[in-house]
Amino acid sequence: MKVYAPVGRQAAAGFRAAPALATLAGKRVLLLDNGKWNGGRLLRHLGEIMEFEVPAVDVRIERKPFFSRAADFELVDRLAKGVDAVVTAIGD
Amino acid sequence: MSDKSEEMIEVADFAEANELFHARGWTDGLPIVPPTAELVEAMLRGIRRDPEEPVAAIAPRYTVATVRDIAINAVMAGCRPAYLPVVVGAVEAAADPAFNLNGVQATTHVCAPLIVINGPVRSCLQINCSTNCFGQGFRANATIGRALRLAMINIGGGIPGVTDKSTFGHPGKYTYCVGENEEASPWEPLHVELGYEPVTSTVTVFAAEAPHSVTDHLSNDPVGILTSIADALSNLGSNNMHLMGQAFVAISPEHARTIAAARWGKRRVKEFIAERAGRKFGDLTFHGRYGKVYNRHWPAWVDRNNPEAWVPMVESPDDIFVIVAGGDAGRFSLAIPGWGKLGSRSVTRALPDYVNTCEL
Repeated sequence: MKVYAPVGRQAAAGFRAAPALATLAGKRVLLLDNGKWNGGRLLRHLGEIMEFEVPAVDVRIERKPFFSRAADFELVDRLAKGVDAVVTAIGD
Repeated sequence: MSDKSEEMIEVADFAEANELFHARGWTDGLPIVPPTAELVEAMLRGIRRDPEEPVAAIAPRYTVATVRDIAINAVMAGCRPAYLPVVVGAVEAAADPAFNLNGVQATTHVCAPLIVINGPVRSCLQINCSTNCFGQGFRANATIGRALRLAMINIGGGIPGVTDKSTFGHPGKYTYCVGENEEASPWEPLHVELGYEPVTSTVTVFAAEAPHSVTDHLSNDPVGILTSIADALSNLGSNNMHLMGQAFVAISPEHARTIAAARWGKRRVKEFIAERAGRKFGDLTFHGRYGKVYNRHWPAWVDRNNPEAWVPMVESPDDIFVIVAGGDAGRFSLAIPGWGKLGSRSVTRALPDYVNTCEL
């Protein structure tokens, strides 16, 4: 007998991940805080380490409005244009 | 992601279909009804919509589910065709941005969509609103809730350990569907309270913890009963207590009769619960044992320097949803906490596609 696959029939949109950076030196790095208190603390600490150890790195933090919702397209577009790397954290 | 070349799969029999579906992670762990073309076409006769019509993008994969895709999962769940409009309505409600299905699917919290059904569809589909209504034994309750979960797994990609990070989950993640016992209620039912006509059938979805039983065989007036309920909602481990947001309460017919005999209407019930549900700041923060606590979810006006300061659980009585449900006997009610203010909000949809027949 034949049965349907239950996963929906929308074709997956293809995408390629951006190439990994060879170095963070001189790069613009965004730390994306998802709004969870411990995630933000972790990222701020990471930012301090980066600024201490990585030459000429430009680190800034932005916060997503709601921790459990995907970042909206406007934020993602802005990130894609203005930074070289993004670091996120999930911390309860 | 879906593979269009594999829309239909050849299997030898029921057993092989189940082994295949289990191996691919397309079940909730229980046996499924293999979704053959014949069964899916029969299911689609239960709804007045084009099978290829897109219904909703289901998070976190955001695959767009058509009516047919949902019907496939409804067959798997064991639904009758007449249930399909309710399942589709539940999917639409869950996909509403206010419900935040992305978060509900992924959270470490234990919430699951609780489906509450109101209106005439309950009797037509024999949706249990009475004795053991949150439990087993009634096909509509069991399979409608299950169909939503299967759609969330298979179309939405909510896979335990991968995208579904719930620390524990709870049994409602198999199925969590109940009708309001409007006939036993002394008040207006939920959908009327929300502005729908009594003759309109609706489906409400709410990101809910498992029901917490509230035993109160002592109180013979609203104050005692509702204090018990408020206390159960706002215990120290209550997610609502730390993140505020919305909560559901299911009051049993026995408790409802006692409250109504004192001439308390539903609004007064909600206001009383909203007033009493809360805790002292010192208790919530263990009196500074772990350092200073601010918690931005709590109102800014709470005096965080005063351990005796009252922290409310909800911002408004409108954040407490009250239904009457359950059997005629038993002085119990249910406190059903939610996920929190920034997490998810209850969503209600009318069921215009409900085919008003009980013969399907």
